[in-house]
Amino acid sequence: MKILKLFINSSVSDNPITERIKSEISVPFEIISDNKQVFDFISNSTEPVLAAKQVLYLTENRGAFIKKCPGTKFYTCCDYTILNIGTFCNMDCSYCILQTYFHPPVLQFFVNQKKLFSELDSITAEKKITRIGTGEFTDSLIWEKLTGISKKLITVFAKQNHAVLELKTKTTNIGDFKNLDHNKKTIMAWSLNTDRVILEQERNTTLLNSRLKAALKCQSWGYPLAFHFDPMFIYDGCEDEYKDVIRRLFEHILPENIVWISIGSFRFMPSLKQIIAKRFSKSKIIYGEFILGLDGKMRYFKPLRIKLYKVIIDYIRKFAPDVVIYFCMEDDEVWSKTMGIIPEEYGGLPKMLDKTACNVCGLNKNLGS
Amino acid sequence: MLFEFKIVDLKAIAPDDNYYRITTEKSRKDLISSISELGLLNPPVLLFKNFKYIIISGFRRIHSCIDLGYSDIMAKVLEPDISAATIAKIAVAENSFQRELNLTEQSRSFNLLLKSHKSIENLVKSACSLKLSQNLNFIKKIIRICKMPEIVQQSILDNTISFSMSLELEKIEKESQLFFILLFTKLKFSLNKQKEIINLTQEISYRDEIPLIDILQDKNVTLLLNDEKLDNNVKVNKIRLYFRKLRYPEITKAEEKFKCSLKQLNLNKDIKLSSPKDFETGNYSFKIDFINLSTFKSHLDDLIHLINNPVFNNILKQ
Repeated sequence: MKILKLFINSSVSDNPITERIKSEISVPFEIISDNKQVFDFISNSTEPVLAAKQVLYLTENRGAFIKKCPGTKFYTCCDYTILNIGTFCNMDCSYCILQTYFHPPVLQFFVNQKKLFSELDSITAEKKITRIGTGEFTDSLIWEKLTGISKKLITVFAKQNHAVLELKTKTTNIGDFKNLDHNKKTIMAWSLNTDRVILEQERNTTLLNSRLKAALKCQSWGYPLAFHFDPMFIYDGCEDEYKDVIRRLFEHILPENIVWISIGSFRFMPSLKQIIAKRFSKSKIIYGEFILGLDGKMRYFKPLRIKLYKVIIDYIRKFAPDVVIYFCMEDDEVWSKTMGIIPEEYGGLPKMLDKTACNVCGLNKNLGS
Repeated sequence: MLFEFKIVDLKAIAPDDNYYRITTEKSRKDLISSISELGLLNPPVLLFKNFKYIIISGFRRIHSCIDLGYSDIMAKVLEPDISAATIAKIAVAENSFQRELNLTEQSRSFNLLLKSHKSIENLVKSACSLKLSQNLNFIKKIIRICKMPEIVQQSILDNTISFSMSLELEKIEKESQLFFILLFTKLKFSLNKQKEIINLTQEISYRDEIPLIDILQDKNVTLLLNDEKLDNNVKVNKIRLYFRKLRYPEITKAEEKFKCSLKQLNLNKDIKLSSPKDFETGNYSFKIDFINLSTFKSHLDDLIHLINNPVFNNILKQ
């Protein structure tokens, strides 16, 4: 979605990154001293979510750049670390939880990168296996052409051997990564879905084939890869369509280059339902058979989730018997009924993922998690 | 002075011009009896316009006087140069300072005032001096009531449906709106069940791309509605469950399967087996009622026997 207005916090108005973005996107800008001015601008719009996607706020991150993924105690979490480069996204997926996660949603990019890199130094100093990603509160690569932030991160991560960076995206903004010395410490990851879901639910994102071609390029440049089938949707014919995605994935990608594949089904805070109904009136995704999960989110009725997961996992296994597949936020029953294992038997999910990161990305196996 | 007292010929009044009408009260029995005994104590307010007197307030009083065969009445006739905004305020004040206005009356008041205000936001100031709500969000919602079909307005007044339900119904096309009102009036649905039925049927309609009215007029629902052997509570529950089954086929199938297995287990009435909530956790639970050591032991024996019961084993495998 096109940015129509720029807000710049006065604290970063003379930052070179601000200058660069300002001149690149060339839209009206306003320098402000108080975040409230942006919040009010968005909240007072007739369509706050849409407005938030068209207004970019360049500011500093006054909180921590590095955070632990919140997870919940009821479902198995992967113990991920989040590198918070910005918030929200200017693509427009109907199911995006960020529409209700921030109040109001604000498309921010944090330009005080000295602080970011200094916090990263502490991760490097810790000498323990860490999996860290920028794609939790935003898409990892939406600002790449303007800012080159991921390029800098790839270079930093390449210089150590106990942390991996995961860049998770629905874009194909990988052009600048070709000749980088990444040292396999950056995992290029794509969110995958069926053509139907991409077409109907993921506005302004790239086609599945484009994502796979981008992944293929990254494979040829030696990057480790990851894929996220999350959120998966249950609809008539979904099993065949997800199988088709898997088949096409392995037509492009060699299993040994995949660090992990995550699987998860559509889940949402109840408040998102109204937003989807209003903003995506033709979307039927909220009319599935949902129950209120233990974490307060709506999720598909468990037997339905298990049925879809089993089909998908069995099919992935045909192409990649040894690739690590994991669930994002599911319980032991789901693990055991679909994969025949529970993470605890392998030391827990974080350990499983650390191990595959060591194997595929060449992390130092002698370090603890 | 805004007005002068005048004796006005009743034939010169336009009794059916309801432009300024706020009251929803239609009955005049008590008023007729009072006027016939004590006379017209409080003169109505009129405006002379286009060779007729328009009623600003006192609709029921004027109609009662006509019913009583009066030929003329004492009235307060507004000055001809009075502004439209002031006339609207007088019409509202004559009602709002007399009694607590119901929702439809509040809606009529705000709509009348809005005609002489640039925006709802401007109207808030006037609301303050007229004993009306000044809550902008409330005003924005309530203003819609008097634009709803008569039957919906009447259902709000009768407490068949709530104000919030009327706003839900407003989003629905007319035929289905009418169906819901008749259904709720006939079967006396509680507010929660009204909401549930509307949600379930709308979601089925969106999901299956079937017009809502076709779902409501489903032959099974019609059969249930026309079944004279069933009392209203049973009908309400059956209709609710029928729509729930259409909306959540897999969930209801699992629930029915569990119920059926429970029946087959034929547990002692003091032992209750509960399924996991929504089958999300794997945790089943037993509740045992006992009065002494002997019944406790007997129930425990029953439970231990379940270990080898194939029906019980099947429940746990699901």
